[in-house]
Amino acid sequence: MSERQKISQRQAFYFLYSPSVILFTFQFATVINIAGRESWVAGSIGILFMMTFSLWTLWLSQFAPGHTILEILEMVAGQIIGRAVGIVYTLITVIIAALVLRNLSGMLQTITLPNTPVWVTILVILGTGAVIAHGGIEVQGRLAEVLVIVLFTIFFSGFLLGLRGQFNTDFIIPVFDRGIRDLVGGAYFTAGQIATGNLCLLVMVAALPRSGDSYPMIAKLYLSFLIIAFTGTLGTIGVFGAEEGARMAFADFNVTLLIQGLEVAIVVPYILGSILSVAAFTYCYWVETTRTFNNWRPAIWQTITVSLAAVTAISISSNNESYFLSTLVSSYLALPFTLLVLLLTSACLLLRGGKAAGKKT
Amino acid sequence: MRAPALLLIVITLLVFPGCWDRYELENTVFITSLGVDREPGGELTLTAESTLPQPGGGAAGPTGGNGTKGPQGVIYQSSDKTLTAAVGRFQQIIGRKVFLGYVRSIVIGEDAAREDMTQILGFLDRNPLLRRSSLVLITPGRASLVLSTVVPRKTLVSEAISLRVAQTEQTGVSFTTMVGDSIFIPLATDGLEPIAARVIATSFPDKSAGSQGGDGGNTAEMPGNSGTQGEVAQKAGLLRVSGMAVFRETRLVGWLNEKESRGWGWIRKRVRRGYAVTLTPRSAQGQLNPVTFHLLGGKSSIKYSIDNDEVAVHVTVNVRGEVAECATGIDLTDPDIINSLESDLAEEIKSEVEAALEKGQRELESDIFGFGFQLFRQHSREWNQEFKDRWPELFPSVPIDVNVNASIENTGVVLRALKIKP
Repeated sequence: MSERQKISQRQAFYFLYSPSVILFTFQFATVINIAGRESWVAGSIGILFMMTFSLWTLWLSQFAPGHTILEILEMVAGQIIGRAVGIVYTLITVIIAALVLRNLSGMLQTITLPNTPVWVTILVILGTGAVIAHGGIEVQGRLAEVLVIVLFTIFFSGFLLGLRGQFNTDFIIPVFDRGIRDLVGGAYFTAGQIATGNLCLLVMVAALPRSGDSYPMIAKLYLSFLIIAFTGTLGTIGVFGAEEGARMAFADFNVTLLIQGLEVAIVVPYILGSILSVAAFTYCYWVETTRTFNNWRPAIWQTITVSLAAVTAISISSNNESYFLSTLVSSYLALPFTLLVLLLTSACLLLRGGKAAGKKT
Repeated sequence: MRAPALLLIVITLLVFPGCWDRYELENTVFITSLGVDREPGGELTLTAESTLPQPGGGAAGPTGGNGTKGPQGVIYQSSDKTLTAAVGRFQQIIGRKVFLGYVRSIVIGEDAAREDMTQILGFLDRNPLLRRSSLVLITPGRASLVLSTVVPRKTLVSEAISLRVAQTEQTGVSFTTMVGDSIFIPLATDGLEPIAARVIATSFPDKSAGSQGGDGGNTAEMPGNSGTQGEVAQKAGLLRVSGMAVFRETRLVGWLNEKESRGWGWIRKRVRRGYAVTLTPRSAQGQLNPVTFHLLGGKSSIKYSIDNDEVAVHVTVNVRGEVAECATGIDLTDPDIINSLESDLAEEIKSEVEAALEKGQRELESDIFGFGFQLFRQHSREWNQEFKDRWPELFPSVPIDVNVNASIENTGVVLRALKIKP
């Protein structure tokens, strides 16, 4: 964990996958609620919008290869701003990890484990994520390389089977009947959900051997998010209609619920995806905390941050509250914070004539 | 690193054997069918068909428990203010964990459906074990009667209902209706009203049985007193799926008979198979004789003309059929005769569609056809600006014209009529 490891483009792709889409997959119904039948268009716009943020992140990382964006910010904006932003980053990622944990435990409690206390699920998933994160980014990259393909295959085969015979094209058309405001709202909401992955990218760029070569990887990553957005929103609308689909707590689960025994095809990918996401966020806030406190007793800070994530997740009283907070945090914290970091770093770099690498952090 | 990993393994082993959500199969009872009735006092009575899990998996008829042993599952009944509370009472009565994950059909009694289904839908809506793909049927009379009927093959009621729904759909006089598709989606979608299949229970050993309402079927004595808690005596009889129940929002407002149901099916593109009988005057002797057509399905299209905020609906149905039975001596190789038969068939189908429109639009004033929804799909701007808010008032008086085209694709394995020697 302490030494800085490098990962391949492929591993980076899979590493970023789960933390980027996990909150979004919990929130298909919310996008449909905002944007109605055009939610798949809104989702696509939001995803493409966020892709520009990730490309921007990669571009900034080239000014100091091997460093995180937050390290680059500290190089160019000074220690006070750098550390302050680092602490905010840690808090946001801890909260997002907590929300992923609470969303998953709420889902499991509703669907399969009604009597199991949510803290049990939270601690087990968080513990597993922390052990994976402790192995370093290379371990995570390798693990994600295998698990993302597994969960993707299970999820899509289950979801598409659920759609079979239930999909009604009458529910898809017309689109654009609700006006531009709902479309923009849906796009912004989706961008906020996907922005959680970009938070990980801010740290992960340090592990990329040549970040300048990673633009195609990011483009492929976001194009694959489009598949998720298309399938999740279009599938839900096609089965339930926009009005009914917007009410679902777990839209994709409800699609598979139409066929007995198919629920497992949704539950298993969610568990695997949540573990990978929690591991990625845990890795990121550990890296950032270690840097913020000058590598002073990292084990203590790691324990404190993981405990903070656990306490935050457990203190969220209900699944509904967790959904509300997910919307709030991703749209009004993750996305604006990412934009702020990128703007601040870019502005400072411009002011310093693009020189950052020579500075000691 | 080894210590935290070891700790995690220990915690996981302690937690994942399922201490909290563990339940034994032998202490569980599977519910396969639910019936809902409303009592005069306002309470809801839930009737449930239960079976016990078998060691090899699946469910079977009862081998124990508190209820009556019979060829079917045991039928239990309980009443309470809400259905969730009634399910809770089942556990008191049965002494086993009640598992709703295998519910295949939900039968709602006429009284409960006519008063207001909101409370029933609240139960069906949120429970993660109840599937939106479960069949929903409305019965004229009490749902408990349907569930307590022992059909001749002595299968589970849920299975008997599923089989009858599937087979009836092949005749086109009633259709599969699921909780999600037929109730929840129409309730949430503008320009669409809920509709459900009708199931009728007939008890044949009891000679005193009378009509059960609607246009067919017989009632049998209500098993058990309404509002009681406990097992319900079962009674030999028949179950028949026939016609449809029409809703306006959450209230049952009337029934479609078999002819009207098929008319609805033509408009909603639900008819896959069926038979139609016309009377043809083309016999050798000139008298009217029946010709039976095997229907091979059809397609419909709905178009609108909007003029000065007035909307008119144009329904076109294209039907395919084959001659299944023709006892007349007419020459079916003559194209003119075939054209004439096609016209007869088209007239017959048109009369079905018009009967459905007469009942659904003018009498019951319920847009079960989805004309409003299709108007939204084709003219969304006009719908949102002019019609959306006024549709329930506009719909009963919207002019609808029907055009049916029929094509006869074959006449079976013979071409010419049997000429019986003099």
